[in-house]
Amino acid sequence: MQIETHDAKKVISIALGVDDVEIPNNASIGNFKRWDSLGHFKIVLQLESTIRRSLQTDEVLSIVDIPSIQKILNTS
Amino acid sequence: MNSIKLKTNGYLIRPLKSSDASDRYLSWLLDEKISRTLDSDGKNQTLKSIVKYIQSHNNKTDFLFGIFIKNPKNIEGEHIGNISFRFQPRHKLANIGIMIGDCNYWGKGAPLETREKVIDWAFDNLNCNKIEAGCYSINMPAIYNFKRQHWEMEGIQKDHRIVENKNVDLILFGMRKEVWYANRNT
Repeated sequence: MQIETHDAKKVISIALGVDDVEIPNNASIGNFKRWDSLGHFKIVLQLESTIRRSLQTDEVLSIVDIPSIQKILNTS
Repeated sequence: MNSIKLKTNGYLIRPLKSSDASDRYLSWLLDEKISRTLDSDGKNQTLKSIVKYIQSHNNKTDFLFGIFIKNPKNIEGEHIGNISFRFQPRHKLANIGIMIGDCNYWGKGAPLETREKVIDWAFDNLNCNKIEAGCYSINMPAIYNFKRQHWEMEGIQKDHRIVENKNVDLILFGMRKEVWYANRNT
C-alpha cells in the first residue's frame, strides 16, 4: 500500500517539482498549496506521460487526490 | 440592479458599461490562447460587437460583470476579465461563465475568488436555487477550479466542440444552493 502511494506521489513530485517527502499523504485539491490550477495541469500531463496515453475526460475529472491518481495508474 | 458592486480581497466586480469596451478587452478576444476555451468566435470581434454584447445584458436577469483590480482605498484598477451571469427566475436557475483576459492574472486564483463572490451574491440575494456552468475538457485550470469549489459534474457532451481541429468534450457542472452553503467555508 505504501509503495502504491509512492507511485502516485512520484507523479505529483515530478509534476510539481517537489520532493516526495514534502507531499502529505492526504494531499488533494484545496489542501496542498503547490497543487493549484497550474499544478493540476502539470499533474495531468505527467500522469499522461507516465501511462503513455491521453486521459479520458471522466478520468481527468476523477483526479482530486493521491488515491484517485493511484487508481488511474493501477488500471493503465 | 445596475449599481451592483461586489468586492473581494483583490478585486472589484461590477456590471460592464459600453464605455468599458476597449482595445485591451478586444485584444483578449483576438488572442487564440484565450479564445480557444471560450464559446465566442474571437476572430470576428470588434469594439462595436463588444459594445453590442455589453448592451445585450439587461442588468436585471442578465449581467456581464467586469473584474477589476482593487487598488488601495478600493479604487478601481485595470479590467482583467469578465463574468457572465444569466438568471432564469422561472426555474430559479442561473448560468455563469468566467474569462480572465489578462494572462498576468492566470494561476493566481482570480476565477475562484471572483466567482465565489458572484455565487454568494446570487444565492444570498436572488431567488436562485442552482447555477450551471461548463468548460471544455482541455481546460485543466477551469476543471481544477470547479473541483476546488465542489461543483457537481452533471454530464460530459462528447466531441461537442472543435478546438484547433480536434474534437473536445464539453463538461457540464452544476452548483446547488444547499451544496454551496454546505461547503462555503471549506
